[in-house]
Amino acid sequence: MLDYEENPYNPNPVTKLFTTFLFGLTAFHQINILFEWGAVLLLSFIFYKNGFIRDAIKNITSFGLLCLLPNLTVIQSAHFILKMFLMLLLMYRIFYFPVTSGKLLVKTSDVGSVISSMDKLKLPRAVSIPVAVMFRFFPSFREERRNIKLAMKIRGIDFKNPLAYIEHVTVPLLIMSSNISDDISKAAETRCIANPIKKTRYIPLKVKFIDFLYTVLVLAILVGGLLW
Amino acid sequence: MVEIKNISLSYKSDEIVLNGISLRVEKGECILFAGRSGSGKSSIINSINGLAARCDGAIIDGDIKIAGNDIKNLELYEISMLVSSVFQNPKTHFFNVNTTLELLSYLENIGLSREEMDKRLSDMLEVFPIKHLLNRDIFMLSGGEKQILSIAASYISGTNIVVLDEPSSNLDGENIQIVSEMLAKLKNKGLTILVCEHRIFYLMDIVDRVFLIQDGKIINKYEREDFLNLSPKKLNDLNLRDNSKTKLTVPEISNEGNLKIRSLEFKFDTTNTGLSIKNLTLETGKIYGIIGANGVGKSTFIRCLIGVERKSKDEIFLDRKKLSKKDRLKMSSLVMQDVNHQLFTDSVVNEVSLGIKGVQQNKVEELLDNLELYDFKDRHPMSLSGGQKQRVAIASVVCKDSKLMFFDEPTSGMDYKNMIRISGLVKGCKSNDRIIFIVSHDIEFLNATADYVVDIKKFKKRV
Repeated sequence: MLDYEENPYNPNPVTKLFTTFLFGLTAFHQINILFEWGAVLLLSFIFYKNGFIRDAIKNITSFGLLCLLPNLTVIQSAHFILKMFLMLLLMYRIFYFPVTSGKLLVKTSDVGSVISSMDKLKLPRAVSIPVAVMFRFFPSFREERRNIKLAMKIRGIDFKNPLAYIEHVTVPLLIMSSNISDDISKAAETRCIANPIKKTRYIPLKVKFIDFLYTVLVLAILVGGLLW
Repeated sequence: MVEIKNISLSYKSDEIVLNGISLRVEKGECILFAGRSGSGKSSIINSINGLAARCDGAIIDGDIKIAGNDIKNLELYEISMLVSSVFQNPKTHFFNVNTTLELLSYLENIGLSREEMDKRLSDMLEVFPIKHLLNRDIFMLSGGEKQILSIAASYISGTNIVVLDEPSSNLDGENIQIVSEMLAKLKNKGLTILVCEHRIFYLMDIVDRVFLIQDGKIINKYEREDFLNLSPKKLNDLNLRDNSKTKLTVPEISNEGNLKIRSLEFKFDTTNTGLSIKNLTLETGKIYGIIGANGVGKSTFIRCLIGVERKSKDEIFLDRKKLSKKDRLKMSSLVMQDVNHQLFTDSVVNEVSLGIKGVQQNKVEELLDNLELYDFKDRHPMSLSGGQKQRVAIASVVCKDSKLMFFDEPTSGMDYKNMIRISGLVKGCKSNDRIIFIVSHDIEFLNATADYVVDIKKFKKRV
């Protein structure tokens, strides 16, 4: 009946959630650089196979640039403004894998499958509904942000005065964010999301070969990278 | 089917929005709630679908019964199984990103089997031939397509009652016609339809009764025939738009003047179409209405003119002097459809003078006075009402004194008097060295305001 087909290269949200948690461990203990590149290529492959070609390329180039960062001793001897800037980048480098894996999770999962994944994990509705609303928030937010940027350009608000810029961008962004989350919650409520019965899925959540392969590869990269 | 007994509704304890509303709607009827902005029409709709009390924090006294159930005793999901809703702005309507999953999500949430879902989908496709809308990214649909999908979603949900809150606000003429046909089909299927609207002409074939709402009360009830007999003048006196379709009386662009678009080329990201304009000439001192169906590229056209579309290849001249994108950006100002995007500061007076060098305080105050904003000059713009916010945005645009002034759908969802007021404000911005562009679907507004219209459909090309 439906020509909606599931992508065989898209792991289900439970897998992506689990691997994001695993990638989180790299923030506490850095793994070998070769294995890090393995992880970057794996993430880019999944992005690519799900139609996010730009993200796949961005992932490789931004990690490549982050690899050029000098080490801590060099940073410490730098000028304090440069030091602040480099430290921020270094922080990003530390959290790079959990952040990118989280991005993959958000970009490649639809709201319905996220809810049913959380149902499978027996998470209470009080947790699963807000998380689902959060998932839906990002695409709306991106659309609103584009409009705010347009308005700012026309009003001549630019980054020359960073403090004023941040103040001016925050006001509409906060108001729009609160409007978006209100709207999404209403849409969800009128779709009977809070109905306590057991929900059905048109396309049931399956464990596919990619789930198995992806988890094993991530585990292998992490364990290998630690032991190497 | 729906019975309302003496309800009063307030959002804060001192502000009464609905006062003593009682009505009874039979199965299969189509009811229109009409009245000026802020009269309480939407609140009636939102008290029936349960959102007012459960999401917006309204306090409701009195009884609302749907199919014999007192909704006080129902959870919101239980009300949603009796009543489906279509909102004013279709972009706020969806919970999924994929259109097919959106249509199915309600059915999944009420626990239907896959076979039953297939049955409902094929039944829906028979009633509404919208196969081309399935399996698409909702963010890539035009406003009209989104609203069509919303109505299809309310049919597939299988409820007997549909409530609609100004569903035509953001639609062009063609899509309004489609929505009108869809609603007629719903009515033929025996569904009860309750709708509040400003643009009422497209409902005249299906409406059974009209309730006129003012200050939270029903001040008049009309049977269909009586309402159709009201003269346009009488309707306007009641603050209503015309009940028959208005014809556009503004002439097509005359192609004379001193702003020349020698060429403008733009390719859309998602389709193999684009805009291609050659030798279009506009005149300073005039107001141009930019028209065309939802999704045809009206907003893209004005973004290209303003100079914020990097991918547009253009050659534009003013008084024979070539304007770069940067030049155009400097001389442009825009009032957006959702003005919340463009209010940045902490007070009205700061907002109006933001980004303008050497602005005179007395000039700002005079401007605020003209727009009836002086009393609010120290208030935070975001704390004002929708209409006041729009006037602040207009004030900031007037203060910038730009040569190119743009208005994007300034009257969507507006009643007759407010539309006339905005028309007056836009005409007040007219000056000999300025060109004003208005993107609008509102024919009555264009007739009252524009000197010429530019139909973007003519410039849409396959690339």
